[in-house]
Amino acid sequence: MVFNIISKEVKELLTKSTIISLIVISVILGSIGKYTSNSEKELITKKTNIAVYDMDSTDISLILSNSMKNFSNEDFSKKSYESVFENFKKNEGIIVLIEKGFKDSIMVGKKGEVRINWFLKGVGIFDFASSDIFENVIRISKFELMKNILKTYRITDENVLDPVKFKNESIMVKGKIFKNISPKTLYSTLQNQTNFIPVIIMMLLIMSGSMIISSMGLEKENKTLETLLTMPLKREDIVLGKIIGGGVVGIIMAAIYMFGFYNYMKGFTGNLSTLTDLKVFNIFDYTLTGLSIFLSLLSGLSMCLLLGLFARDYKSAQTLTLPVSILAIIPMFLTMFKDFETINLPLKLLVFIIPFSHPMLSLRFLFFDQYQMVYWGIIYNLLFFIILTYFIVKIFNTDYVITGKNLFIFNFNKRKFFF
Amino acid sequence: MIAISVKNLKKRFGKIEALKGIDFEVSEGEIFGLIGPNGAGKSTCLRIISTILSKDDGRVKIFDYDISQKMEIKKIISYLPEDAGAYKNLKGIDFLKFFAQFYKEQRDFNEMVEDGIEISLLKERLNDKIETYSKGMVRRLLVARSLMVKPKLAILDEPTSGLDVTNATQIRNLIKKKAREGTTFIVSSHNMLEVDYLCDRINLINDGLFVEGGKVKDLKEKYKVSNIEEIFIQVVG
Ligand SMILES: Nc1ncnc2c1ncn2[C@@H]1O[C@H](COP(=O)(O)OP(=O)(O)OP(=O)(O)O)[C@@H](O)[C@H]1O
Ligand SMILES: [Mg+2]
Repeated sequence: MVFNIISKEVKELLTKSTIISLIVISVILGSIGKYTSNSEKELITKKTNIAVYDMDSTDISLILSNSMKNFSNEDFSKKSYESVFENFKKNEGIIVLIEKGFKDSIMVGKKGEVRINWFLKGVGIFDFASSDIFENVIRISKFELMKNILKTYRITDENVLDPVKFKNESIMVKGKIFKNISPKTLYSTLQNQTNFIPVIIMMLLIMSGSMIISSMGLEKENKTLETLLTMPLKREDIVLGKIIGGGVVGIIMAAIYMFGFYNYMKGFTGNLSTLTDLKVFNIFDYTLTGLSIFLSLLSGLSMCLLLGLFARDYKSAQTLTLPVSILAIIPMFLTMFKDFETINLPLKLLVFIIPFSHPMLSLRFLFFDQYQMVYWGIIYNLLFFIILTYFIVKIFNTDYVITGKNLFIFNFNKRKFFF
Repeated sequence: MIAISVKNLKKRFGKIEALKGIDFEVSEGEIFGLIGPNGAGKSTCLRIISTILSKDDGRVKIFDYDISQKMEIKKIISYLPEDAGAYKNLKGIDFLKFFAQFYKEQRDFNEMVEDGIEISLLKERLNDKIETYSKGMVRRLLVARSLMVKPKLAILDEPTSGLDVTNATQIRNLIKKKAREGTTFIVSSHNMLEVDYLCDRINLINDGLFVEGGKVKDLKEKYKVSNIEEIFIQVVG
């Protein structure tokens, strides 16, 4: 009986047009990812436009200008300032002016002045990324210059410029010790291996949740719910069939969507060198996390079904996924900025009672071998789902599903309590 | 055998007293009409009989079962809600199959679906999505859905409202035919011509109360009128 309802839900909700539009979105996302990943690659291999005008013309200024010219596509200094200016305005680049008296200043212990004029294409992330390259050029050239100035003071040992080596020996965090790694690397490794989970959860919730809510709205609008309620089957079966059916549809849709999203994300992260694998999660960890995701999805979907019960028709059902998504966003942001251990007690409680927090935190807990927290999360979500479903079945057994009125009346005469 | 027995049935929605104590009995094989103006309480009464609304007071029996034995009753009844629609994204045939699944214990699945196909008169259009159907086609599909399971009692809330003469007549004839085959019907309606043509016995209710009832023929004689529309106006108006 449950399977009959599940398969009907899938047939009804997963129409050709929804699948096609999802695939289109997925492909578009994927190709945006490819495009951005190409432009990132360009950044790394490309030389840049650097025009250096050396007004000082001394041995010291020459070192600086030559070093900079090495990074340029061509030697612009032979061209006129005006033509270079017009060229850079259209493309991008920097014009470097080494002032007259550059060497003299340095020799009397002052700073030599160099003026830089920037030409940027735009203000997008990748437009600004090109300015990183210029910064890098400036840094390297400066180092070249310092080495040479030291030589004039007869110091040949370059080590003087960078005499200390700081070695990250260990990090101790939450009772666990990590060797030979910087906190930054630790953080980004953890991020890389765990930050896909909130995305998956949001996706599943929004997809499945809206499916269930609109299916409830449609059933009410078309009075098919009334018909369904007169079928010889238990009301539990209707409730479970709806939750699981909506879940299945949501998972299928999210899978299609994730495929595109994965390609999209690869565009951003694909070129970063993979960081040292500190702790690769094992099958057991992933199974626990999968279980946690699944149970939180069931909890979320039962919440959506409850909300769907309050919807009068299809239209009013449409906006109801919002509260559930907001519930998912809270732990997503809270845990993004702070660790579960470091937030204060009220927030901790808030995070704990929201079913979606647990899968989001799961891998992070497992990373620090805090298995207990994950078990509690799973137990909590299971209870949440069972209790809420029980509650929904109760509502299904009242007139409320049909009339939309008097949900919480106490009818003493008939000894018919809702609770 | 008594198919439906309703005694002193009461139901209120907050302040509104929809049923103020209704009594009637329907015998097996009868087509019984529940007649009354808008808001009289017809739908409320039919919903209680179909087990989807609870009653506040009174007694309701469906064949041998008390109304509280919901699962037993659901196995032998079939209910068509007022203004019902269907799952628009499903094909007609899948709609019939979906509901037939629930009665697999009562009847052979394939026979049920065959019956549904026949009753619906939709032929190859059953392979199209329901969203492409006209109102009349949807109604025929819904009637087919409710009758294909061969229920002992069919509860139809305004089965022909909003349909043209041809479609309405088709459905009326179908109900008559199924009644001859043994199904008991309780039907609500506003349409007095329909009631005259269709029902063996009627009950007129107004404002949640019984006002008049009996065989259509007897009522016409009692009020010395040629059609029940006049009776309706006399007792309600
Ligand atoms: N869900 C509800 N909430 C509040 N009042 C309701 C509800 N359903 C019905 N009523 C009230 O109960 C009374 C009877 O309604 P019902 O739908 O049974 O009438 P009806 O005879 O079927 O009318 P119609 O011919 O218009 O279909 C009306 O006064 C109606 O306003
Ligand atoms: Mg009605």
